[in-house]
Amino acid sequence: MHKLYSNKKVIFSLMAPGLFVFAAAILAPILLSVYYGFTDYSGIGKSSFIGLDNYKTLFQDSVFWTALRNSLLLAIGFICIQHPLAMLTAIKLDQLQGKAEGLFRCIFFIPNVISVAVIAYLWKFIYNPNFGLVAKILKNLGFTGQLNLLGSGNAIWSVLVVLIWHGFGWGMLIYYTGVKNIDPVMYEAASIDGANGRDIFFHITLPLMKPVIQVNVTMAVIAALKQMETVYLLTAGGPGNETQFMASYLYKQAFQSYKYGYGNSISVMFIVICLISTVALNRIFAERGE
Amino acid sequence: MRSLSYGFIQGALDGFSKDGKLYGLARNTDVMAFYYNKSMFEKYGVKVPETYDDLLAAVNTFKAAGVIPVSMDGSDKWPLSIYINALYQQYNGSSSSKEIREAVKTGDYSNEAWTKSLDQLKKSIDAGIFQTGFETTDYATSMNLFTNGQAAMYYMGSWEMSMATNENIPEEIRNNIGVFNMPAVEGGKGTKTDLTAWNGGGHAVTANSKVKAEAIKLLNYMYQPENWSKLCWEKGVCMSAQNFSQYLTGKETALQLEFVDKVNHATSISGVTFNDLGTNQFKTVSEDASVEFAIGQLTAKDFTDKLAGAMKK
Repeated sequence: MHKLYSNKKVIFSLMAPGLFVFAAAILAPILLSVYYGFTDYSGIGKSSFIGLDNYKTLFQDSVFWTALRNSLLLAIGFICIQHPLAMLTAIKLDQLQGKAEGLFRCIFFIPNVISVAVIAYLWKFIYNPNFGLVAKILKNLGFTGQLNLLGSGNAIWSVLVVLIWHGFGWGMLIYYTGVKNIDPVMYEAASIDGANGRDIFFHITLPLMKPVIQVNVTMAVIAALKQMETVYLLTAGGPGNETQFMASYLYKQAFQSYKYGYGNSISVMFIVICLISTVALNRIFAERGE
Repeated sequence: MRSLSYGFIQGALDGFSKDGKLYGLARNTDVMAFYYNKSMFEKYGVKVPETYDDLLAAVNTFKAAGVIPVSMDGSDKWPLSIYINALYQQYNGSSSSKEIREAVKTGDYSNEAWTKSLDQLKKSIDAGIFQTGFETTDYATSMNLFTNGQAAMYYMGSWEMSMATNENIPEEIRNNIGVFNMPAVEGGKGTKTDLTAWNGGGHAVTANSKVKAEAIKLLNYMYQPENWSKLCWEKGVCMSAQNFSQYLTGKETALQLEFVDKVNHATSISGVTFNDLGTNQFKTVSEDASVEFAIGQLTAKDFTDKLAGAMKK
């Protein structure tokens, strides 16, 4: 058996399918994207090589920077709002025990399994100033006047609320797994030594969750950068281009403005930014380690 | 010309011809107008606006009563662009179609009708003409505001005349829908017979199609008046781009007859509106700009500058 696995031909033939899928489904499209990013291809018809023109336009395109800002805002929202809440919920759930634990675990995960299209329309209606849930509640509380939650200035925050709410269950579940893996003996030993809840959290739970936090935060940042469907269905990037995210903006340029070449250049920048973020995150977490 | 015996309305084939050659056939006539709820108008003592100032007065009346004056589908953006086009026609008169085409092509938006139309739109929005959040209200939601009786008027196209026969809409609303054109503005050269209408949708045949001869035969058959033109009207699908007055069944709804009447008495039509007269990029830029202007992110000058720049790229 050992001989079989160290035979180079065997190793290669076992790895080949995976490598092939990677090359065909990921590497090749990226290379094609890089190529198209250097052209003025509209999606149909002829295209000509225009060198770095698309990238020059991109750096001066205020909507691209808005989209990047929004993606980063979402990443910050995930890390600073969604994850702390998810972690505290996971810890509380762990302490709950019994049937309640299973029940609440399900409840918190429900938004994650609802289709993105349903989520977008649900929240569109909730936010609607004329007949939406928020408007009706505010009216009952005596608030007169109309709050345009998806209007200019407010839209990005309303969108962030939806996105943070939607992904909550996923982050919580991963932290829950992390918490469950902590040996309860640690807690017992700590309380014998006179540690209170706060001390236990900061000196035992948090450090032992480090690998889980690392995975979760990395996934959150990538998910924030990749956001497209929910915002596309919720606001289509509007009003104006205020709630554009990188993926929804590149979709708009490539398929609605028929600037396929330009869309691809945005896509290449997008890949570069994702790679930089991943490397940066790995550095940050590696530094914290021993 | 063959097209005359098919009864195509004057100007219908302009959007399908270039340099005197015909490249396709127009399928429908679409008219953009204000649908209005007749019983609501009666209830609040509002008359069909003859002038734009009448419309603004109606806006005030409806707002005071807690009713949305005009439901606008801002999410799709093009209804706002068409609104601007319609105002332009009222300021500039019946030669607007040609002049708008020139403006888009050359990037010269110096005609003061542009600024006047944009200012009038801004003034209307500040007065509360559209529902709050109109810029992100989608097609279905904006239509529902009207068909549920929350809005007194609805700015949309003639293809929705089937609201009058749609049994999902409450009877007291669907039996009481009327329609009026963009009202005349003060000092403007346009009148209510200058329609914002175009002959959109259509069929063309590619030059290197393997079945080119057959395709042309099919189109010639389909567009014979007693085929497409008659059937689409009878089935309540839409108005064709041909004269179909001999096919009126006598069972038309009042709403349908109002549209037919408007089309038959039009003194000018806008043709394709400005947002669709340029490249795809121009369409995106001009429609985005229409919404951005409407929500106050752009000035009138920014708007025309953006449009001028969009064709130059």
